[in-house]
Amino acid sequence: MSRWQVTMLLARWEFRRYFKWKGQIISWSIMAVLMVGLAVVGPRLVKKAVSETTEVGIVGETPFEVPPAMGLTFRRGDEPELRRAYEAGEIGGLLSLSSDSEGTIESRSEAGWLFGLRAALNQGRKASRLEAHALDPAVLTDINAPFRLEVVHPADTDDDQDEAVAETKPPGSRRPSKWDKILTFAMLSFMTMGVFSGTALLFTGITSEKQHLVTEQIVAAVPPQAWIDGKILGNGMRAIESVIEMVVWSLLGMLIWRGYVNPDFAGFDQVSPGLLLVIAALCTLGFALWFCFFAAVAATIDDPNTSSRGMLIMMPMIAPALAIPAYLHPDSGLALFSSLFPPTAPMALTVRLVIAEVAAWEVIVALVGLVLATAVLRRAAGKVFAMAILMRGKELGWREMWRAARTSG
Amino acid sequence: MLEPRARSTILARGDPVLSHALTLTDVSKRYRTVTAVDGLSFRVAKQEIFALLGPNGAGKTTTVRMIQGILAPDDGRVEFGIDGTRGHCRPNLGYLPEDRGLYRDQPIERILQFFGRLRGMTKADARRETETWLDRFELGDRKREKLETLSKGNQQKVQFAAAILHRPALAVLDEPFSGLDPVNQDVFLDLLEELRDGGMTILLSAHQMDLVERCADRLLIIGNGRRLLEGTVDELRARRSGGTRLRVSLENGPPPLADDDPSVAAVTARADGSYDVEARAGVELSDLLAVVSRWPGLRDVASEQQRLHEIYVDVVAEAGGGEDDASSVEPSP
Repeated sequence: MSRWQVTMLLARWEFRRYFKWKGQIISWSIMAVLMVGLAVVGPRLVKKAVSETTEVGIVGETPFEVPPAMGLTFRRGDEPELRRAYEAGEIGGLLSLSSDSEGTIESRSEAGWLFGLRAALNQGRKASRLEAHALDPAVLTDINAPFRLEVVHPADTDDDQDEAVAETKPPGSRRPSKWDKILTFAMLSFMTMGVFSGTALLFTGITSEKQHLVTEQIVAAVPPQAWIDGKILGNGMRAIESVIEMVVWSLLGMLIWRGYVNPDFAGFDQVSPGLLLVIAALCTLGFALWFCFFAAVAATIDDPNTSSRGMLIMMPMIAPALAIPAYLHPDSGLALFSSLFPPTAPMALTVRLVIAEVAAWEVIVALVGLVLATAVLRRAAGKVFAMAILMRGKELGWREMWRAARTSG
Repeated sequence: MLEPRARSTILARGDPVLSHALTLTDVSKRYRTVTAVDGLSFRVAKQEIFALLGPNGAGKTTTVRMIQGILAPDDGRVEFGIDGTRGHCRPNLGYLPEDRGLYRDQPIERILQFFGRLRGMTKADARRETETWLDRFELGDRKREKLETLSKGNQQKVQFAAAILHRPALAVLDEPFSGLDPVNQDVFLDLLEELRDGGMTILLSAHQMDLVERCADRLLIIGNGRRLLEGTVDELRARRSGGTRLRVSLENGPPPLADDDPSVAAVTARADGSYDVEARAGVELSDLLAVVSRWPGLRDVASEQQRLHEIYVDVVAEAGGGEDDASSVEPSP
């Protein structure tokens, strides 16, 4: 067998260790039943919820006319009569207004219709105050109007003039659409989920192999580098598979949701394939980089229950942490550094790509840096893994790990 | 870790290395604080059962790991006279490590097929051999059960099958009898002989001397990483005691024996009042019997061979044994 065949054999084994067809089919079936149920019953439930109303009793006179509120109807009358109705459960609450600024509501629960009631009272009070101060509603609207700050992007003019030309430009030179941003955010979220779920698989898989004394037989048969490559590929594929599952179910959920409330999907066709391709490449390479790192760390852990190295699983959080400055000040030196530094580049550069102008060279340097860093880390991880995987009873020290990673061969 | 797979030696035709399954030449391995193997040399002939014996810490596990390519020797050479011992899956080597385990949460059928494939078998071959070995161990109807559901003895059988499923030319079995009841020990002994007769070379390490004595064609006792004694069981007996020993009972106390008796090396009193009489090297049984028959008051004479266990204990005691622990691999300085 060739080295590649051995690696793929190990990758398939790693994938199948945690991917059980029976379990998957059961979980997919449950999700499908839930989705179908939601699709069939959901619209009726929403319709019913929207048409459902709660009646609220208004005691005595009110300083202003209470405007109608969604899901609420009002009954006016004397307090004894309304209280009887309230106690009999015919009405949901008893409202008393002591002035145009204060009042009380008696209710058996902190129900959601209270939000609607508050909004209606605010609106009623506002109208009352306008009248009291003899203010023209148009003046109030003018006062409350927000400052309209339009962000003009250098590429906007190009887009308007020649859409076809804009599409052929590097990703940073075209202003991303709303859907570019939504999909980018979704990809980053899924990448983060994938890194964490895949890392958990790696840690569980490797430490259990050490605890079950499997390692020596495998190392005797195949080179440790092929083994760790197989682990990275297999567990990576398993993590990606679980991410794809999440994406599929999310999309199905969105489609069902769309059936209820018909959200605005306009502009979806303006998604930039070039931008998404670059972001997909950044996400994939970032995923691979962290996987190589964690495979080496997992091999050094003797007992996952007592090892302090388990906390290293949180290390990928530095990527979103450094993406915040990239978002706040995308043209700063720190943002540029975090966009080019391989461990943080996938997230920081992605954020900058959708909010700022990024030069094509930055994208190229980041991608090349990620490829090189992943290759170096893969090799170093293989050497650390080869030394650490057979150790039991003690963990490889940081200095030994560094020395192992630097050995040639 | 260094990978000894990279250390290849081009051998000429007629080289003794080629006529043996395995040759170790002046092999040494040092850990940070201890020399686990110290200039060890030995050869394992093709199609023989060769036992590597020694006390805990003698360097057996380290030696075995160097043979398997898991560790690289600091000095010396590990050479094979068979093909398929290098490359990515080393299909002609089999290995049953001392510290062993398999994927406890996986079906035994999948585990065996995986290990077969790792050693270069095709999918069909791995499936066929898995069926064969599970049937042989009467586990065929449990092939879809997880390993953890099996008894320790049955797990040991699966372990063994994983080591030799691909029918390697050289199988290294570290403590193959541990965890087996006496009946299954006999089954394994027969199996080892059957595999050897089928062309497999077997290097085993074990502490059950009576079992080793029954199956090993040749053996090597090591201590402190060095060679102490090597040969067949008969050769070892001959070297240690002249090979001949009698147990005699006398009516009139100890035998009348001159210090410079040319036939008798030593006489040892036993708790039951009898005596063990050991012949000098080269003295035949008939000569020793002639000497003993002249002793007055002779009541009973029985021929007795020295057991491997006794030879082993004597040899190890003379060498001072060893207690370093090579079960965890530490980097060389």
